Order: sequence, then C-alpha cells, then structure tokens
Amino acid sequence: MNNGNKDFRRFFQSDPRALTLLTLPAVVLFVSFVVVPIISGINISFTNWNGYSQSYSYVGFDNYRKMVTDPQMWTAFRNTLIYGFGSTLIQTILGLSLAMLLCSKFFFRSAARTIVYLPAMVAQLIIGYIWYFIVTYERGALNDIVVFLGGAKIDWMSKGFRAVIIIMLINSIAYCGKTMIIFIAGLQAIPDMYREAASIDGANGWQVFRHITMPMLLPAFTTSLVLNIIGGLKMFGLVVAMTNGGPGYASHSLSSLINNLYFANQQAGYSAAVGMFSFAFIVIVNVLLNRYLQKKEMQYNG
Amino acid sequence: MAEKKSKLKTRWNWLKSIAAILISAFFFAPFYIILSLSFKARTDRSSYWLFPKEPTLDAYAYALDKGDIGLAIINTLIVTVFSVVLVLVFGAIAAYPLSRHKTKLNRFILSCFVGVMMVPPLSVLVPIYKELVSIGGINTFWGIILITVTYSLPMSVFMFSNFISGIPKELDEAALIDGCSQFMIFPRIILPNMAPVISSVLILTGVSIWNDYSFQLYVLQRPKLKTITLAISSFFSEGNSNMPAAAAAAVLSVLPVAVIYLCLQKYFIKGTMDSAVK
Amino acid sequence: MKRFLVIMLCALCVIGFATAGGAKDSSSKDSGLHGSLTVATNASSPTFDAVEHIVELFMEENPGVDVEYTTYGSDYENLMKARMAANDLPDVFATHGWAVNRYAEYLMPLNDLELSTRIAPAVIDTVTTDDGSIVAMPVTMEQSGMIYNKAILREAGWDHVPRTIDEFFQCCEDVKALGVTPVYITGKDTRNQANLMDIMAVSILITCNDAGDNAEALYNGTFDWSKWAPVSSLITELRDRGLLNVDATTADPIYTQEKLAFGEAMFNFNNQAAITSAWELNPDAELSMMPVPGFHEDDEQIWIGGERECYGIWKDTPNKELAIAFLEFMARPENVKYVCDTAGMPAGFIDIDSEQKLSEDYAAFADLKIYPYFDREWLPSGMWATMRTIGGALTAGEMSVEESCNTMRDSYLSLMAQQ
Repeated sequence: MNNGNKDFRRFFQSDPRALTLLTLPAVVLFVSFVVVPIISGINISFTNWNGYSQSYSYVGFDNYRKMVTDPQMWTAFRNTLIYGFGSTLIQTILGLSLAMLLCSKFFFRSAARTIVYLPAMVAQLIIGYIWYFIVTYERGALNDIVVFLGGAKIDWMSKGFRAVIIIMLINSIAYCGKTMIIFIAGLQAIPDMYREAASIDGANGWQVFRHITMPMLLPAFTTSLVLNIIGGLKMFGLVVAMTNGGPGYASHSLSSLINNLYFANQQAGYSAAVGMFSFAFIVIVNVLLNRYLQKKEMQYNG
Repeated sequence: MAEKKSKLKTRWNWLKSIAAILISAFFFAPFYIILSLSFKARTDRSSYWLFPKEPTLDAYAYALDKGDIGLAIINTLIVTVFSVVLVLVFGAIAAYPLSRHKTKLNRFILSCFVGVMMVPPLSVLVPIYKELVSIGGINTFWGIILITVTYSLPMSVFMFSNFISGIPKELDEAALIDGCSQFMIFPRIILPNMAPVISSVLILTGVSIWNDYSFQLYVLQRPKLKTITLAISSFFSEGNSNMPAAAAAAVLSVLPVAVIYLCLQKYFIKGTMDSAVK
Repeated sequence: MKRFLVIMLCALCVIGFATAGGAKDSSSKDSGLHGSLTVATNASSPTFDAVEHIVELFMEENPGVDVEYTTYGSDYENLMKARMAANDLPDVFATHGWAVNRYAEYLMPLNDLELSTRIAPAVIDTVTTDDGSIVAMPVTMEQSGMIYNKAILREAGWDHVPRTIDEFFQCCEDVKALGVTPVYITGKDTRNQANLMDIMAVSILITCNDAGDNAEALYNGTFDWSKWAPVSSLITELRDRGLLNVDATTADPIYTQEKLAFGEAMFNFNNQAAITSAWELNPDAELSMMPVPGFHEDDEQIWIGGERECYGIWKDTPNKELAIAFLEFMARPENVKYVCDTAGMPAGFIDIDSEQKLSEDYAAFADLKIYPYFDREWLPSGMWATMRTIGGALTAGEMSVEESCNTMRDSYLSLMAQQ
C-alpha cells in the first residue's frame, strides 16, 4: 500500500507520461463534443433520415453509393479544392507582395497595413454580404464601373465556374491581410546583415530573394499555409452570402452542400455521408501536409 | 554619391507611398460602399459609389431598435471573454506535454486535435445539438461556451505547441536538476516565456469567436441571449427588404471589432507576428 | 493585460447576477394563469409586429404570464428541424405551410377547442391530417396566384389579366416590348422558382380539363412523370425567350420589393406580403394579385391557397394550459382582424370583416376555386426540396426538361417508398 503510493508519487513527479494528465480538460471536451457527434454522424450516414422525424430506417451503403454518381457532390468537391488551394496560392502571393512593399518605413505604411488587415477582423458572412452588393447585377458597384467605362452590365455570378473563381478571389483579398502580417514578421526576423553581405558578394535582387529571403521565410510560409488551407477548405459563410451555392448548385463548397442537403433537402442521411467523406478527405490532406512540412523543416534545420 | 543614393531612396519611397495609398483605397472600397449605403434613405436608388446627398440615420435607428444591438454586444462579450479564457488555460496546459514529450500517446492526441481544426462544424451540428439538449445546455451561456471552447481549442493547442517547441529544452532540464517538480516547470519556466503567443492566440480566437455564427444560432435561441452575428443576420433574412438597415447592421457589427483593433493594433500585429516566426 | 481580463470578468459576473436577480421579480397580481410561454415564428414585419401587439395584449390581460415571442426569419426552418430532431420544441410555433406534412407528428390536435369550428373552409383542409385532426390555427391565409402590375398591363394594351398560359406568354412579350422585365425571379434563393412550379403544376396537371386521373395516380404512386415536362418547360421557355430578368439565377430576394414598387417588373411569384412590403416604398404602385392562368383555352383560372401565419401547440409542451389560453386569445375575432388588417392578408377564420387594399381585386375573381399548393397535396413530403433543386438547375441551364422530369420521378419514388 505504502509502496504503491510511493510508486505513484514517483510516477507523478518525475515520469513525463504523467504530464499527459494536463491534456485532460481538452481531451474530455474533445471526446464529448467531437468524437461522440462524429460517431453518431457515421450512424446517421447509413440511414434515410430526413433530419427531423423521430423515425427512420437503415439503408446500408446506399448513401455512399449515391455519392459516387452525384454531380452535385463532385462539383462541390472540385470547388472545395479550388477554394482551399486556389485561395492559398493567391493569398500567399498577395500576402508576400504586400509584405515586401509594406515592410520598410515610408509615409502611409502603417495606415496601409491597418486597412489591408481590417477585413480579416470581419465575419465571413458579413464580408460575403458586402461583396454581394459589389458583384451583383442590379446596381452592383462593379457594374457601375463597367458601365462608366462604356461596357454593358455583366451578371458576374451567373456562370458557375466564374462564380467559383470570384468567390475564391474575394476570399483571398479579404483574408490576405493575415498572410501579409505573418510574412512581415518573417521578413523582420531576417537580420539585415545577411542581405547586405549577399549584395556585397554581388548577388542581384532576385538572387537575394531566392537564396536568402525565401528560405528564411519558411516558418512564416508554414504557418500561413496551414491557416489558409484550413480556412479555404472550410469555406461556408462566403458561399452562402454570395451565391447560396448557385447558380443551380455550381458554387457549393462541401460545407455549404452538407448544410443544404441537411436542412433544405431533408436528406440528413446523405448529408452525413458527404460529411464523413469530407472529414476523411480533410484528414488525408492534413496528414500529407504535416508530412511535407516536417520534411521541409528537417531540410531547413539540417 | 551618398546624396544621390538618398535622393533615389526618397523618390522610391514616394512611389511606395502612392502604391500603398492605392492599395488601401482598393481594400477600403467595400467598407466605403456599405457605409454610404447605410446612410441612404430606403427610396434612394443611386449608385452605391455615391454618398447620399442628404445622409439619414434612419437605417441606424431602425437597426438599433429592431436588432437590440446593445444587448447583443454585452452577450457576445460574455461568450467571447469566458471562452477565450478557457481556451487559453486549457490550450496552454495541454500543449506543454504534447510538445515536450513526443510519446506515441501524445503524438496521437496532438494529431487528433489538429484534425478537428479541419472538421466543418456543420457536419456534426445535429448530434451536438441533441447532446446539448440532453445535458440542458440549450439557451445557456455555458452551453455555447463549452462548444465554442471545444472547437477553438485545436488552433490554440497547435499554436502553443509550436511555440513551446521553440523554447530550449535545456531550461526544463536545468530546473529539474534544481529539484523542481515536473508539474512546476510549466508555471515557473514555460509560462513566463509565453506572453507573445498568448496575446496572439487571444486575438485570433477572440476574433473568430466574436464572429461565430453557426453554433450560436442553434444554442442561443432566446431573444435575450442573442449575440451580435445573430442580431445582424436577421436583417439579411427572407422577407426583409430594408437594404440600408442591413448595411447599417453590418457597420454596427464591424464597428466594435474595428475600434478595438485600431486601439490595440500594435499588439494585434505583434501577436500575429510572434506566433508566426517562433 | 492580466488586470484588464480580471476587471472584465468581474464586470461580467456583476452583469450576470444583476440580470438573474431581475428575472426573479415576478408579479404578485393574480389572474389565474401563471408561467412563461415561448412562441416562435419566421414572420417578418408587418405580420410579426401585428402578432407581437397581440402578445402584449395577452400579457396585459394576464399579468402573471410571460410570453417570449421571437422570429428567426430565414433561419427558422433549419432551427426547427434541429429542434424536432432533438424533440425539443417551442410551446407554440408557426407552421408556415407545413402543419400537416412536416410538423403533424409534433403537434397537439385542436379539435376540442371552440376556435377550430371557426376556421375558414378554404383553409381548413391544409391544417387537417388524414385522420381528421386539426393540428394548427391559421390566423391569416394566403390566396395566391401571380403578383402583377396593373399599370404596366394597361400600358401593354391588355384590358384583362391573361387567362391561359398562352395568353400569359403573349402578355410577357408585349411587356418586354415596353422595355420592362416580364417575369422577375430572385434565383439566389431557389424557393422562388419552386414556388412558380408549385402553383403552375396545379393548373397544368390537376385542374385542366384533360388532367384525367393524374391526381389519383399521384396519390397511389403510378404517375407518369413525363407529364411534368410542361411545368419545367415554363421556366426554360421563359428563359430562352428572354422573358426573365438577366440576373434570374443570382438576384437576392432583397431586390423584389424595389423592383415591384418602382414598376420595373411585371409578374412575380410571391405571396401578398411582397405587395404589402413594396407599398412601404411606393404606396402608389398599382400592384395586385391575379389567379393562376388555365393550361389550355377552356381551362378555368384558379387560386392557390393555404395557411399563412398559422400556429400550433407542441404536443409535449409542459405549458399546455397556457398555450391553449394563448391560442384562444389570439383567435378572438378582434385580434384576428387586427393581424389581418396590419399584415394585409385575408383571415383564416370565418366572419372576420377585414378590409384590405386587395379585397376589391379578389372580389372580381370571387367565383374561382381555391386549391392547395401542388406539393402539399399531391406529393410526398420532401419534394419541395427537389423542386428547389430542379428549379435552380433549370434556370441556370444545368438541367434539361427531360432530366428534370427524371429527377422528380426518382425523388418521388424514393420518398413514396419511405412512407
């Protein structure tokens, strides 16, 4: 008894495994509000439940089979890839360019940083509604410019693929402020002497950028990549506010499609199946991303 | 030579300033449009670019009266402050062992957390709703706070553990040799070093909780518990056609965040920076 | 930062206790009824304001009662679905046209109440289940067809509203020649297209002279879905002939009001509330409601009707007595009249002499029959969503008429099998 107590004490005080106890509050929340709902979601995905009735029956793999041939589902999947990776690419380019510009000191620099970052503070839904007034056909702000320049009004969001690209661009513009700040931080962490030394050695601007700046920016790059991909893959509010998934179903993301199937279409079972698919997909992206970044980091450190 | 160089530099800086002003104008345009719309009368159908000749506050009066924005701001503050505090505490203490001791179990826990960061919350909405009903969490602040904390935790664990990995392990070891219990290392050694990442997690989760919509809609149904995004969204709903009021509501929802951001922007930017490079 | 947080927390606690203390302060006056009641709806103004006024009157009469009346606008359906799934509903809630098809299993029959005997015959079927239970109480009802602009009709040289679908298309062409949008659709929300098909389908498949046994076939699951083609092709034909607004797939419903108010659109598929709302912007707009045109030359025009602002009681509510008292209060003739007058809608009860701007126009078509919406009567529950899907896809040109018929058939068969 005494002995056991002592063992326990030693384990508690010096075995690093005991420290895992510190994760307990987080793990409890995680299990009760993530694991349990996901299991119940898997269960629902094998039913034909309409989302509100107390009765439903099991339909085996029907929902998953349906997914394979459903054009809505594959359009939403393609769009999610565009929203996720497309915005990440553009956000990185925009953010990096803005960071390079707004890094050194000059008149209006701080004000510009503030304004560029401002949209990142606003809810996606609100950003979406604001931009709706810009790209809409009727009195849309963008069309006013087109007409002013002598063109004819365009219904910007009426072509499915164009709508997807526009939503992706708006997402990039609205949230590139965050990426910019991350890169500014990265740039400021590079000691000036590195670049000066390289210049003295005769390296030109591009070479300095390529061989000094870029590698030193890797940690910033990693952070922004993770944040942007997650943000893009989870895209919901912007789609709902801008097109509601339309025209037809052409601009749905997986999230907005899941929501639409569940609530508007009363196909909770099918919606849950799509939910499980997107969950699995995102886990795979996550694993690959982590592996890639670890490899990069090792190259960088070693 | 030096004079020529500095002259070139001033000219270059002026060019940069002009570019910065143009970029700012571009990024501010959407906000300008929503502002000008919010000061218009309902019958004013002029271009969104034109500021109304006779600005009116009707839309704001309507939005404040119908939306009960004041109460909504207090409610949102309650949810945001409590959630952020819990996210910081739970996130920080969980991140410490996860980043310091890469045992199999810890690595498994960490990757689960990061996985959650990517789950679209709507896909598990109904099971969560059922669960909350069964524990009596609907229409309570603690109900929404629990859910919000759960889905904000992964981001904070991710950022905290990245940061802690950057603190030299030698510090821990030295403390252990000095006879410090392993549970005391965190508050004595690690915590004092974490100020920058704490401020950035505070800002990031604070903003995203302030802006959250999906969970709040389902958990806080009573009008007295309405949060700000819920109050705003009702102006964009089916059957409402008061465009200036919707714009005014949007402005009102952006305003508190924008003011806080302008006052604390130094910390905001510094916080984001610190978490990025460390 | 730390001090700031501590101060914030303290302040919040104080606020929390203060509000908790305030809530306990209950009235001592006795009126027999005590407790609190939650009432939920999706109504927007002016209907919401009208009912809110009735709620205030109710609380004045019963000082011991606290009624919480809330609207959730367009989030209402989603919220109610989540709440049904968890079997946790408001004491009293609006059924917005779905009393029988969606909410019936959660609603308390009202047959024993006096008010159930006063429900208007035109609407009683839509709130009565197959086994004869009246599950909801319609305060206002809907008598819909197409919204149109009388001034534009005159200008286009018409002295009567189009009586058949051919006339309707002819009228659209004449209106287009004037440079006005003939049919205005707000397709960002596909409810609009679904609504169009929902009312037209009754005329095309049920009430026309050569409808045959379509109704019977729809009930027993043997319907030939290629017959749906004329309904779908209404949309494609309107689109192909350029009779829709350019932004038919992307316009937000928020624009409907001004388009109607300023005479920039001729026809629109919405209920009376859209007209009332347009009058807020321009009281002189000559808007009215016309019946649904017949399919062929000799076919009758029809009205589509159903409940509008309509309330039912959750069958498991712990406040049954209070909920019944509230419905009875709301059903008093003077209160029904107040809601109808304010909202500009016909009453769902008999013997209410409510006066509206549209009454005269309705009187001109008083002898036409009122039919329910197509999906509520002739389709299994859940088809509304299918109609939204094909409506959106047809407007956007993502689906052919034939594909839309097949989609309807597949969805119909799978939903019939579930029943």
